[in-house]
Amino acid sequence: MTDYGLLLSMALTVGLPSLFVRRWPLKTTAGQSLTDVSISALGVGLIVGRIVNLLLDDPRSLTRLGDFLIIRSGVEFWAGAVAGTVVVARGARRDKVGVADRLADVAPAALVAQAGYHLTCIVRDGCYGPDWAAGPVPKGLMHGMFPVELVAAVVLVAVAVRLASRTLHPAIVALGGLSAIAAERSVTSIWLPRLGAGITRQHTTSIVISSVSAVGIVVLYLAQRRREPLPTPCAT
Amino acid sequence: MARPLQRLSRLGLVALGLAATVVVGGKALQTPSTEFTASGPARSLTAAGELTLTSADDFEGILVGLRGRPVIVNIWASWCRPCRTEAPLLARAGREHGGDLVILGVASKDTFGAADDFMDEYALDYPNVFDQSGDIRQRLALRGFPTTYFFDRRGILVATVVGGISERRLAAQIADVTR
Repeated sequence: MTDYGLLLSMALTVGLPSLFVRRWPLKTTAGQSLTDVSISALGVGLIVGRIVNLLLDDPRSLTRLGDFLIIRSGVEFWAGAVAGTVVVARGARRDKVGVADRLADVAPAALVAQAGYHLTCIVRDGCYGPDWAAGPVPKGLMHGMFPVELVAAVVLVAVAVRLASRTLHPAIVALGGLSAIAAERSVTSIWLPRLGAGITRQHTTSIVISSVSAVGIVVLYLAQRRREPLPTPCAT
Repeated sequence: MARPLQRLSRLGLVALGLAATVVVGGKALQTPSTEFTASGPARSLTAAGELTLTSADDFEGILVGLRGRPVIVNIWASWCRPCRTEAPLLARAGREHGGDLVILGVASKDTFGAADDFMDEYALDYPNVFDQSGDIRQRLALRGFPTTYFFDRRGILVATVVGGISERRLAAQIADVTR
């Protein structure tokens, strides 16, 4: 029952962020929980991601509801992420909160959700990576592998904690979260097994998004520094 | 006095629920190992891209004849939805790794015409056999559609994947058996 592993993945992907916001509460949601703010985004993201995945890989499956529902066969991550982000942004406007403020508020939780998904590689297909004799041996294989996804999960949580400290401009926090996930996905796609030697779609889109968001962070950071008043020199 | 008891019973229920989840989940995640060793006189592989009516004995003979090369056996059916999603992956694996291993499809619990149409629809250009009697799937102790079996060069069954296989798992298993 490999789909049981997928169910556990979903539970951890949703549950871990809820625990995270107990320590670093949301600040722009006026009493709404993380679930209130994100459940629609998650649902819309899954549907859009699945539709785009089918459009790219097998458009005929769009006419078969059963095929559409087999989420395990693939969800286009960035399409789903964009759709989910739009839902969150609309929610921010409805709540009369700045879009950047709301996105910055939920970005750390989103990183923790991605980390939760990676952590459950143990109960899904396995924690794969480059060959490593000392590493855990994924189910069905005969050799150990370096668990790239587990390391990615730890890095994502560390970045989430840093972003949640909120000493940065909201737009920088939001872009920082985006850049972190994109960088993580492009790096892991290099090390995870794939058919053939060609570069994957995940790798190319993640590199583009990571690069664009990194440039955006630098531009925003420089603009913020220019707006900040110069420190007053000490009186002599 | 009533409140602490209520809290304890609530905690107890939560703990019981968690324990049940872990036990059921642990059982669900275990994959019973399949033991199978092909035997009998060697037979030649059926033609690539074609669906050939084959008995269970002939199927084992094909596996015996392929010893020396890793073999991936994939049992599928045209009505099986996860089979449709993994078919393009297997077709691509066949094209990418055709020189290193053999992919052998087994259409079972199906009609010949529907299975043939499925092969055309997904351009399965590796050999496929048609298991009319169901004996092949019984000998391989099939638990669900689809199932993919990985045999190493010695003909030993080293891994069984029940359910649709992901690209990641397929690529990792291929790398393992072709090592």
